[in-house]
Amino acid sequence: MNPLIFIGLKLLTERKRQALVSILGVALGVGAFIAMSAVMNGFQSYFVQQVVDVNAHITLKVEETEDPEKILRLAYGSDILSDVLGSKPKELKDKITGYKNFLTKYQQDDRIIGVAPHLTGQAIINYGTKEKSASMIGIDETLEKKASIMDQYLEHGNIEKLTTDRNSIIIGKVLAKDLGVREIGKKVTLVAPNGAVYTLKVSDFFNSGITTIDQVRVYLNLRTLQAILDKPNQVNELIFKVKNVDEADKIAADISKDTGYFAESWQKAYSNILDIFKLQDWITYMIVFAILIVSAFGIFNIMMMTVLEKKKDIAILKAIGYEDTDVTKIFVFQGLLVGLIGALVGCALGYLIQVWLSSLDFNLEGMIRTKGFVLDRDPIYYVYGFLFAVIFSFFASFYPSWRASSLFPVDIFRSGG
Amino acid sequence: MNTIIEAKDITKTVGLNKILKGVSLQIKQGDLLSIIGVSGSGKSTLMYILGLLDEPTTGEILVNDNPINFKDKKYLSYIRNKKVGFVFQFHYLISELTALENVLIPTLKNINNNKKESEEKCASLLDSLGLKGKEKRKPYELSGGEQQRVAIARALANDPEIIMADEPTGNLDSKNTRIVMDIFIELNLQGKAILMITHENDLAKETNRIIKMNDGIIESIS
Ligand SMILES: Nc1ncnc2c1ncn2[C@@H]1O[C@H](COP(=O)(O)OP(=O)(O)OP(=O)(O)O)[C@@H](O)[C@H]1O
Ligand SMILES: [Mg+2]
Repeated sequence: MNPLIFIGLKLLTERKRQALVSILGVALGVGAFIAMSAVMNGFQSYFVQQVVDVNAHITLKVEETEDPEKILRLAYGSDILSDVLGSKPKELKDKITGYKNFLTKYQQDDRIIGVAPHLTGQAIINYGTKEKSASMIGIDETLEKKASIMDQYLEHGNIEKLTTDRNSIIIGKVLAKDLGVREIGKKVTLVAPNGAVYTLKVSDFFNSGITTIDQVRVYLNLRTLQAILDKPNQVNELIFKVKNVDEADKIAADISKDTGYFAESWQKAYSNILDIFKLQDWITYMIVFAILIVSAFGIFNIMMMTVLEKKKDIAILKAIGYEDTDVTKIFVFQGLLVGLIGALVGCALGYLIQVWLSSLDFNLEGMIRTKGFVLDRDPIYYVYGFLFAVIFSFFASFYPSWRASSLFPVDIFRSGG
Repeated sequence: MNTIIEAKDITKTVGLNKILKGVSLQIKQGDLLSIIGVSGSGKSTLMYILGLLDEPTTGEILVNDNPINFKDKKYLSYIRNKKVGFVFQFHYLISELTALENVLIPTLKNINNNKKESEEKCASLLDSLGLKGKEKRKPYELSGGEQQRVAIARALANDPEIIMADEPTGNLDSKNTRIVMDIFIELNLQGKAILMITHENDLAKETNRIIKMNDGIIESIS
């Protein structure tokens, strides 16, 4: 065995309690890092994946603007200005003119997988004595399947029912629960904004796992909704599914420019939540960083104490021929070993916490609904945690080791040790 | 006889304090010499410089007739490891290591050494110093005299040409002082040079040369 390792090992193993405390400190930091990363990133990527896929990658809609002229210009061309006072901008506002051309155009775009038209509107739904408001989306079932994965969230896979039975309705799982609708085939009453009442048959439940969506959303056949809202052949949204979700921003900008309507990418639509996630990441990593700093400080402290207590040993080692770098190595080795063992124990600890978390079976009802934690068990977090710990302990032991190596043995011998 | 270490007009100044004011000395193979003098006369300082632990302010140190460059720390370490064995008033044994491991430490510095051979050699050193059966003991499980003998064994581990001892018996009772003194005389008979600082004139008288220091200079050699 290398003599430096031999000496370092002896110095370390003869002070087991201190060494164990340092190791435990590092292990806690690494374990916490691995467990927290898995929970946070698992939650975030689950959420992003859900919202990105449930809602469109890009939604093209009529720009929400206070400027009625712009709408009119969009609808009738730029020479309409003289008619502004006499027209009713509100009614014209919510409509994408020439959407069929856009559909054919963007179906040929390489970057886009699918385009589908939506008509959206509000309504009240009654079931028995219960009454809830709902956001209706009228869809073309065949196009919708290409542009979103909403069909994957249907509990019974009955999306074709919208075509085969024009009076069917798919309602959000939470909404269904709120209304008391427990099985498909039940009839609900829908009150349109103009007061007209329709009876529709529940053909499926939509369960995306995102509470805010599942408690309001209902799907109807596009034609049915156009009839209900009295907007024949109109749509007010186009949704796009793109090949690369990270390019959604850029493609959305292109679509906005080409169509004159407002194309919003999922990143824009969820920028609030993405910002919150960033903040959440910061807080998480600050905490983990703090734990690692504390454990690094523990190593530093113990190393420093060892160096001070071991001055005599350092002096004699140097006197009998060990060089400054040898002494540095003896002490850095101890710090690294503590970091290394701590990191390994921490990885095991992180793994155990992950196993435990994933074994938990509970119904989480919040921003999203899942059974237990959604964990991101990417092995890279082990690598990061391990590297952080080893690098931290290296730096933590560096100063004490340098202090040890720069000790002048004569000073010790003179003071009588 | 060959000169092992030679000091040429050494001075040592720390701040305004002139500790050594021009000391010249030759130590040859097989020498047995003692340094005496009142406290503060510069005995230890001279020994540290001769042992390459400290640097003279002016003057020159020659090891085997080669002048030493005190900037070459690696070489200083090498010479201390190979040619010099130190013994101090305090034993400076590493308390985490056994007696045998403590003696092994200087031999481990040279990774070309066969560990097994070194261990056997160090064990027989301990044996020859009357510590048979105590190789596995930790320093605190040994008496003061035994600790000092382990320290002497450590000084001998790399078979140095010279032993430098700074008041090696300062902490010992008369019985153990006798034992240590006999070890030094025996080692000298085997050919090792011995340089010993002492306050006890009786011990100094047993050596071949007595160097008397006073106020940073050699007052007399007898
Ligand atoms: N680093 C230093 N700074 C200032 N003065 C020093 C330093 N080292 C030694 N001295 C002084 O140098 C003088 C000689 O010290 P040294 O230890 O060589 O004496 P000594 O002869 O070994 O004495 P003793 O018999 O007490 O061991 C002393 O007066 C001491 O105070
Ligand atoms: Mg002295």
